[in-house]
Amino acid sequence: MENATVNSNACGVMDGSLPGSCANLAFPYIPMQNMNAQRYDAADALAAGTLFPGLNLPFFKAVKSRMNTDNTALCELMALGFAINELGLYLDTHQTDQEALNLYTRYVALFNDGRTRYEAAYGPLQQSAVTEAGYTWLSDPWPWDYAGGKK
Amino acid sequence: MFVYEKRLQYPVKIKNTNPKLASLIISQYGGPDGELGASLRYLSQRFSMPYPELKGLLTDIGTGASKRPLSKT
Repeated sequence: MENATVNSNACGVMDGSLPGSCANLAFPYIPMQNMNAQRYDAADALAAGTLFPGLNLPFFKAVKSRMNTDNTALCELMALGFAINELGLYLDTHQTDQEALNLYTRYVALFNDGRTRYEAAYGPLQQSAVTEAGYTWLSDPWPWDYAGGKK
Repeated sequence: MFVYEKRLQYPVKIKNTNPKLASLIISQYGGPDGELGASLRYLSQRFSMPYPELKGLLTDIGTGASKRPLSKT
């Protein structure tokens, strides 16, 4: 077996280099997110695409343009829904994080309250939410019926 | 198992329509590496997953992956 040219900062035979340290070769790993991970508020989370600053990893060299979320009732609901989604995934693997659970409970309550008020004003979000106006589920606009340049 | 709401999970605003790009993006839905296949893989792996937290995670991610293409197109 030939010796490779010795590198002054080489790691052991079984190791490769990581930034600042050495680690076993050929062992990919994903570090576990800490308990009580730092969080954005719901609106910033929706804009960043993640609830957690630690997971906010914009694509290399990509121009970071924040999603412009208008301050409408629907956007508020979307922000809460997104935060609930993210917290739900986090709680799946961190079920003993009491603070996250409290926040989850609070966001769900806010979301349900917001949905009731939204539906009273703008129509149903779910098919089963029949309002006084009758069966308005099929009324436009559907959120994905959006054409470029037109509202 | 699936409930949908008349709202998008994430705001989508298309400034300029681009059918060519749209057809490329929609192609990421199907095929061996598409979101549709991924979502079904998560959901079928979920049934043999022995750990409760991962069982939940696979179900949540699987239902999420099937929704993703809708906001992509």
